[in-house]
Amino acid sequence: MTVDKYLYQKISFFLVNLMFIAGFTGVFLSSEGTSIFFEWFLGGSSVNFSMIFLLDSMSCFFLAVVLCISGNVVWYSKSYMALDPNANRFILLVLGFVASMAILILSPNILSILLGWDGLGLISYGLVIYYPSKKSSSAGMITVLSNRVGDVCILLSIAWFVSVGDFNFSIWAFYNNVEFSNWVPLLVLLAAMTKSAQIPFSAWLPAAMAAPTPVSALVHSSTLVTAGVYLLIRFSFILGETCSALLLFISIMTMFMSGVVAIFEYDLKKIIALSTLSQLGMMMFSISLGLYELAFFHLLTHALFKALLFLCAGILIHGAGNTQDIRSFGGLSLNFPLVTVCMNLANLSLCGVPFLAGFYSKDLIVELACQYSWGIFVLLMMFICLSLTVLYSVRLTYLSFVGPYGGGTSISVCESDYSLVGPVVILSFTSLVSGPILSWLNFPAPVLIFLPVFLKWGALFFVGVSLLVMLSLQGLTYSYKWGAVSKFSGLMWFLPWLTGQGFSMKTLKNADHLLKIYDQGWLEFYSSKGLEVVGGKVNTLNLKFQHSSLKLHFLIFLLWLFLCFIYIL
Amino acid sequence: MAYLQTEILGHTQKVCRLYKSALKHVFEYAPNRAAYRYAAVCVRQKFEENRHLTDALKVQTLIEDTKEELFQKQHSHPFRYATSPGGSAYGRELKSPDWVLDLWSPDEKAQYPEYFARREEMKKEYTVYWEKKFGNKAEELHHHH
Amino acid sequence: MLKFILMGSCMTLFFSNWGVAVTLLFFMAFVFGVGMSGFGLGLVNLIQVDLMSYFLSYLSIWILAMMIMMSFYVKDHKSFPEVFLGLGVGMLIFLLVSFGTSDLLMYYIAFETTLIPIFLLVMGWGYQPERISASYFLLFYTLAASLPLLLGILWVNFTDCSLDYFFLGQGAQFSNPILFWLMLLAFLVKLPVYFGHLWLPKAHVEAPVAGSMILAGVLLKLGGYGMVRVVPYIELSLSEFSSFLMSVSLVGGVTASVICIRQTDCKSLVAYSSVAHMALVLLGVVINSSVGLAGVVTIMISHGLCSSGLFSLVGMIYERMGTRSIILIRSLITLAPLSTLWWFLFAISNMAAPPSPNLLGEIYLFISSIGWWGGSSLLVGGLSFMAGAYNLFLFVSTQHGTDSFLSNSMGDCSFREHLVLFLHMAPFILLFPVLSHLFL
Repeated sequence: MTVDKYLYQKISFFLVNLMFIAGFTGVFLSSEGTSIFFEWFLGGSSVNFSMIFLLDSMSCFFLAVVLCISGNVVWYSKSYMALDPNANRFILLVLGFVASMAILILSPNILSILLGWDGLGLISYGLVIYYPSKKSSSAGMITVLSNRVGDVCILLSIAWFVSVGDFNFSIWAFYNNVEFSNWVPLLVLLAAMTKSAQIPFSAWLPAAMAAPTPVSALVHSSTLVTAGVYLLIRFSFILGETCSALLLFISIMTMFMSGVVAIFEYDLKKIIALSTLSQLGMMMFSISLGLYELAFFHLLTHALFKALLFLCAGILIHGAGNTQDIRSFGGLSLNFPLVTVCMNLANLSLCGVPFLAGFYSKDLIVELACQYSWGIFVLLMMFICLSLTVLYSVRLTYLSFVGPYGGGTSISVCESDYSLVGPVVILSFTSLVSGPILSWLNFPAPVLIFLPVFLKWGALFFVGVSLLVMLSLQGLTYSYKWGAVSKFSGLMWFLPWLTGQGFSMKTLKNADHLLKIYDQGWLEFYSSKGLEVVGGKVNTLNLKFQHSSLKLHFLIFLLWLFLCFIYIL
Repeated sequence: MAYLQTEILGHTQKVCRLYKSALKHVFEYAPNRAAYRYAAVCVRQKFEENRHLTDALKVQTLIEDTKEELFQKQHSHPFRYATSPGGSAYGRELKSPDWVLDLWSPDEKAQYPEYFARREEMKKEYTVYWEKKFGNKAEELHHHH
Repeated sequence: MLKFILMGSCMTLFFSNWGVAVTLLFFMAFVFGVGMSGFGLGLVNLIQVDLMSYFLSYLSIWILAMMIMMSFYVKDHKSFPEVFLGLGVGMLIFLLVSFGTSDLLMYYIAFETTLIPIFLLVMGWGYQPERISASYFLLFYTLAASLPLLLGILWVNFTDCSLDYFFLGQGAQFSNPILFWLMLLAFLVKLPVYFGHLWLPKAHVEAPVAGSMILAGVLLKLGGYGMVRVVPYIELSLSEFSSFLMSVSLVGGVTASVICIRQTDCKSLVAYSSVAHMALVLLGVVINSSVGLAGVVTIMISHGLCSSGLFSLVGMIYERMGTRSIILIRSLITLAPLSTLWWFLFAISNMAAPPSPNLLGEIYLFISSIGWWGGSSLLVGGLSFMAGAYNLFLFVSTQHGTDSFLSNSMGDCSFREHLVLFLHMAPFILLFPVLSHLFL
């Protein structure tokens, strides 16, 4: 069957059109201050089973951003996957992924959210195991099983929702006195943590980089992993004090861990994945402080510039012949001038350099966090994580663009390929302008922030100092001097061992024991084999009596006689 | 395919491989190209120092010690070329067997008419070659029965 | 119902012509579908139908058609196709009787009679010499457990003077623990719960593909159906033993699904997965609530279609490659990309991914189980998690990889096999709205 030559462009065009529709609907809804419900009643008497779609400004803006990224990614994969014979499967999976993300975004119902939620998990699994290598198979397994924990949590919270009588949680947000079981917030939190790869479920996010790069740009930077954050934003009314404190602790730890690990990582895509993880930690952090709208704002801006970062990295990887190790990069700014500009734009935006997209959201989160009195430790950790972001971003820039040539080969022909460069340029534009535009759309009234001077300068100070430190250290590449720290962080704090190999090894060993002891041991013995032995013995005994031995006959005759005698007496 | 040792190595080859892995090791830790060159020269220096050793036992222990040292100091992210085992792009191609082409549906085959025409010819030629070399087994079996 | 049983008996005329037989079965299924309207246990008859038995009878007709379509190799190899078809049709008749009857004794007789065809199927058309011990195991294990049921039924008859479902629970309520176990033991083994499941993997591994399909698809459901039917007689003692039975079902289900992941034989993996699913059925019955009952029916029907589909997929591989070992089957996506899609669909349906009715059943049972005790969510959650683990393990280890060990050529699914898989999947998906509408 011949495939349409312009298939990718057509799909991309379709998605971008949808993006405009979603975006303008969002603008309309937010200016009118309304939202639209679609409800499809499925059944149920005491409990309402229905499929609900909710169009409000939040879901429309998020949908617009997802469609913008996916449109660009589809266009981009036309060239990136050009030599791959299975690209049709790839594009179908990507479309399925976008569809289930849309369902997730649009449904405010825990029952219909499951549809998108499970779909995301399974389709991302299909994308991670797209390449047939062993590595991608194990990466896919850890991805899908970590996500499965979240699926189960959602399933269980569905069951708990029965106690309140309706699965539509957007309704419950309006009531103050609904008695939810204590399990529901915990389960929702756990589900969000698995999807957003918070500690201890972080191992899958870097592992999932085994997927093709366009997938990473779409799935593992801006859509799938933010599903957890989005769920928590929707469920914000339910998170109590305990859950928020727990989330605060976990999110700070995740931010810190991913920042440190990214400094000791050498795989280009994994560094970016870890930076995603630290930004997810940032969003979770702001949720735990109660800054839901800011978390959503950061989610949108982050999605745009992170997709850009991944697409740029994809061009570098494509040009360098699938090499991802940054030790073989270096001095690439001469080969890829345009990509260098765009990637630095994304990197600086990630760091929160003023007036780029990341600045608007990050700065607000930091300043509002300073304004809330959460104790010096939390503030200090937040600033440290802020500077860690700068450290790994600058290290990435230094090692791949600024520093001396590293020894790998790379072809700069990619820069003349429109379908590779086009999406990158478009996304660069959006990540330039998305900050102010989205902030105007999301926050029509200015936020009042009241801070002492040194806290106001704190963020800028930490960012600036760490930038200078990193530049003077030439990208902190002398990691061998760190010994145990570099090994510990290089292995991602043993998290992959904890939730991956170690856990599965234990489970499989226990399964072996169970199989040997029960199914092939005691149960087998007492049901068939043991009965066989006992039955055999009884039979042998019986056979002995059936021998036509004269003595035995007389013995039995005498016995009967004796019995008859007694009876008669 | 250096990762799979399939033959017994001579002494020279052993030392060469050790040198190569030492260079790789140095490359993994070097922050930039210049530092790597410097470290590589140092490694070369160390190897040259022991070049003229003749005591077999000493040479053997030296090689073992160096191997042990390399193992102890190994990098948490060893450098791998993309398409070699452990690399990021290793095992990405699906190697479907040749006979899968025979199972293509006719409309798929029609997209590559020349190739499939030649493939049929090739099959015939191969049959002729086979029968010339090994004899016609099918006929022989038929005769026996 | 009676007319369908008679139709089944008429099929004995067409043993030699498989095409006509399959067509007739589909015709029967179609008429059966048209006849679907409101049911209730209204009239006192020997034969009557309610919603649950309607769906299960439909399932048996459907699965029988599927299994005959799957085993055309029996016809091609001329290994007694007439006898094979006769056994299948005989099984169908007795299944319809057992699902359609309103009399407990009649149910018992039909229930035991279905053992004969499956015994002969495993014995006659199985693969390895071990099939002989496996078929004996199947027969005697279930027979030994179900003899007490006869005593129980006679006991009930003696006290209640009737065995009709119409009077169930209206006569004397029994709170006798001995009667409780007499009535339940047969179904626990037939279902099977963990500890009574040993016959199942053995029988599945040795059975021909058709035998596995009908065994997992319908015969296991006889256990769940029977349990639902006898529970009203023994409700009083059920409340005494419910904690024990819940624990058996939950812990046993988790154990079975953990063991599942260590299987090296595809078929025995799928067989253990049905043990794990049937644990949920026991859970729903023991909970004895309307949501639990809805969950039981939903899980039974959806599992019937889904596991039968998985068994037919394994059977296709076995037909082509001559092995079912997970270690040897590898990278099927290079050889049979279309069947890979089917594998994925069935694997994720078996792990209760969204549009499948399995999910619906799981939700019902989760609801009822956490209504019993909140902490049980850990166990049912573990069950659900492990279901994901072993199904995807099965999928990835057979379909994924760079190159396969296979040396001889192997085609993708034939048209007939696609049809079989489609006819498993299409009603499966359609069941989601139907069941969610009917059972809530």
